[in-house]
Amino acid sequence: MELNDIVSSLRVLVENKRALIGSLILLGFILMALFGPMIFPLDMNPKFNLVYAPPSLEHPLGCDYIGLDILTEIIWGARDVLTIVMIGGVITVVLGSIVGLVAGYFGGVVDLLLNTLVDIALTIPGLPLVIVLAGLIQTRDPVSIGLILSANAWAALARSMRSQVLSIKERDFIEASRAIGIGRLRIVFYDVLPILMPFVGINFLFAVVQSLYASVALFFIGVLPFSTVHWGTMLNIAMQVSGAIFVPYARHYVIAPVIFIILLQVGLILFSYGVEDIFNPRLRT
Amino acid sequence: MSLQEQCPNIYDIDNLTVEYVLRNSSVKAVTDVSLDISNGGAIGIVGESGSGKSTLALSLLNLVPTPGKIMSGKIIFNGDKDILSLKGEELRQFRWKQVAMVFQGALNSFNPVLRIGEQTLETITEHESIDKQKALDKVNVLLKLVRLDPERTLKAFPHELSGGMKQRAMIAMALLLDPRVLILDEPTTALDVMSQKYILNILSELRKRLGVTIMLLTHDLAICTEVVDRVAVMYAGRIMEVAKTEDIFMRPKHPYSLGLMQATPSVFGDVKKRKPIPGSPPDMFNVPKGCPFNPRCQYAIDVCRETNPPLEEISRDRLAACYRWRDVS
Amino acid sequence: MKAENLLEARGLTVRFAAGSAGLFGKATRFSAVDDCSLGVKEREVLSLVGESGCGKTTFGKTAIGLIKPTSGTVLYEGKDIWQLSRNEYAEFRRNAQIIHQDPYSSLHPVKKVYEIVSSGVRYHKLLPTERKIREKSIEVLGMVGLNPPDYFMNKYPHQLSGGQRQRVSIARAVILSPRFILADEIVTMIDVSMKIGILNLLLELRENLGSSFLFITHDFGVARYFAEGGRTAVMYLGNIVEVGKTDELIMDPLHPYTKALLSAVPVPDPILAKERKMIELRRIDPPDPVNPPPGCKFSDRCPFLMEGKCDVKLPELVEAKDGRLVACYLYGS
Repeated sequence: MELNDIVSSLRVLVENKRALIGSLILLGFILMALFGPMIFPLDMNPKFNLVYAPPSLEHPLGCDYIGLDILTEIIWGARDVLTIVMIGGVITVVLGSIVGLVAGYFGGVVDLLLNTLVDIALTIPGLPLVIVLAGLIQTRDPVSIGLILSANAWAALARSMRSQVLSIKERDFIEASRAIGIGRLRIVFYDVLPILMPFVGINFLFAVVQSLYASVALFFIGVLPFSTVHWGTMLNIAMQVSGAIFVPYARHYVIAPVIFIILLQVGLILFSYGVEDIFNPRLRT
Repeated sequence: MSLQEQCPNIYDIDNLTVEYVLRNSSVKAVTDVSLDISNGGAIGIVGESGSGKSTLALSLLNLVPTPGKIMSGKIIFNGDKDILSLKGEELRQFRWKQVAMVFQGALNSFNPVLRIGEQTLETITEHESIDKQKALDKVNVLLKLVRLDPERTLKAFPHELSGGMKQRAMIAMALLLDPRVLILDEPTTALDVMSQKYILNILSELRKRLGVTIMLLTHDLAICTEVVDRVAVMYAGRIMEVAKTEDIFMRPKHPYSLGLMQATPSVFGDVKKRKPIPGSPPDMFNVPKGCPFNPRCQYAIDVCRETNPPLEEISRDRLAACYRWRDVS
Repeated sequence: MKAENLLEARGLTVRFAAGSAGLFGKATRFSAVDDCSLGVKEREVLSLVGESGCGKTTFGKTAIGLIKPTSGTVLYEGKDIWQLSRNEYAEFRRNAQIIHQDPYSSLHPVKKVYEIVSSGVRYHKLLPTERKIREKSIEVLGMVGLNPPDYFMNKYPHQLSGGQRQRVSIARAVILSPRFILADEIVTMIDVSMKIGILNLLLELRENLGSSFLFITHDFGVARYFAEGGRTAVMYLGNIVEVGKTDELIMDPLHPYTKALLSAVPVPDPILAKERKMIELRRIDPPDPVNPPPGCKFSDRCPFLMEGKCDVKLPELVEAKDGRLVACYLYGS
């Protein structure tokens, strides 16, 4: 990737309004995760005088069940959330792509074996599997959590990548590469994959959204141990400890994480509108 | 009264300009085209990609798709109908009843899930309220005219017919409502050489039997030796030359026509005499100033690069748009 | 002993499944290429003419090893290409290249011309440094008439015209200096005014590289132009029906199908055209390729049909006269 390509990709992004908004939202979250905790220190000491304090100038999102500022908690939670879902997304996509690409292009026995694997993974229902795994492998390590989250999400991607590859591999320019004598593995990753980058990109973003909801669910249910302030955890506490949806004055404690979860998802989806444009060579010239 | 006496020209096209208006730019697909198509005659419009011939044909039916717009000019049908001002029901009646068009890639315009018979009858009953039996009879007659077995063809699905058969069925369908003019856009391009010859023969016959005017659009100059008696050569949206078939082939007076003749590899004739036309087809977003052919023309002089040569009558029934037509040989 | 032919197909048959298997039956298989034998010598040009669906493209791709035949062999320098050692196969692979018909699908849409053209050289490490690869690519782009080469190196295919793309395709094939090139209908989708230019380029490259060509086309005029000093083979529904020196074959076709084809070819001469009549065939439309008639596949349309002979057994390709092979009972098959 040369500098030229990066610059023109950015230009394309800017021209697509939806993607632009999406990327600004995502940028906001990333900055929040990277620098937020430095700017907004989290004081873990309970302040009983501020329990369920409604939103005010000093505490824009109000305070939680032990008087801690919700906005600060959200900011600190962002780091964990983003790490976990990005890892989940990356693992899903990398695993799914490799399996799909290789199965689709190589065909024959390789295809048969990989397909069987994919079929097995697909028959196991997603969320329950993730919940069970999380319950068994009690971990706080974001990478492990990411792995658990992508337990069978990769399979669906493998399946659809494979069918994409099946149609691409008949194309003339692939045949030309074969005629030149280029090896199969090289063709798969250097000729076929670049064509599918928009597909991979969009699937990555969807995988991230999927991981987001799965991780929120895990923390919400309480299957994963928490020590930091993950938004799912906040929801968990809000629901169970405070019965926040029933108690009107504690409503802001539930609404805040929900809003940010949705906002992150919106950002991801809006950004995905630009993915296809970024990989389109016609728009870069 | 013969066709010619009724009305000498079935189409009078006057200074037609058609432009495709895009977001940041526009393309003049047809520029300043004036052409007479004689009643009962057969004319071939020869042009490569970008020549504008398809757009010209669509204009004759006022079917230019958006973002195309007819910017100026007149198209008069049968001496009295101004095509460009027809609207609504009148336009609908005009299209397909008076003038029918067989589009490029017509082989693919059959609905693959319906039998040919079902699709054909749909066309007639949509346009005319004649009873089903009469319609069927008509279809039978036309299918026989294009040398198809009516029973077998009507019962068949499109994929059961060969390319040549589908094309002939398409031609039969186009003739269902007895149009005065039949326009065919590259009717034989995707077909094998024998089907092609066959279809060209059939078109000649149809012309004799039904008196229909034929307009044949093609990039292949050679097929103009069949069916058509006049040829118009188009380039970059303009007409370069119009002449009788024999004249175009034996004595072309436009450098582009001459170039086409020399650049077509043929089964006969001296192989050594073949020459390519230098350069490449014009970028329609950036048509050269003056005569659009000038960058590739061996006869080009300064005036050619400045002003576009008008299409002039250089002898009886011959038109050429070239300042140096006298020198072309 | 050196093999007579650089590349030779012997009894090549390629069968495909046509349509689906249905509930109880097996999928119909049809022979796209049916028992074809044809050889191309070093530095020779052979035009393969036939209508669409006759199997010429399948034959060509099988001959250069891109398709595995159902039966029969392909010999490169006398050796079966499917039995070669890894190194021998690698050498064969480099020396048998293809130029595709459709310039709009033969180039990788997301790669620049430089990358497309140099991929072979780079992968096989034929040149030691990136700079040398770049120089070679520039040289080849110049050879195919894409000047200035620097300008074209950084373009994406969608920025080029059909003719230019086809030249890039040619450059990609030629950069490896292959001994054999399969040109599959390469000017069919090119504008008339540019066809001869591309053909001339190919002829020039042939002079400089000494490659053999198998030139596939449905257009006799193009076949003649390209293979003027070479041979032409005619295919019909999977069979080779006639082979001979190009000019002789065109002036004096022997096989009824060749005669019919040539009689139907349009000629850009209105006076000549009026005199030429297409040979009357018994049936104008070709049969379903999946269900050809028994015996000679042309028998249901052939005006010279000899019942009891032609419709029983497929005639073999035999030498009818000096250098001319015909598969027809009229000539002693």
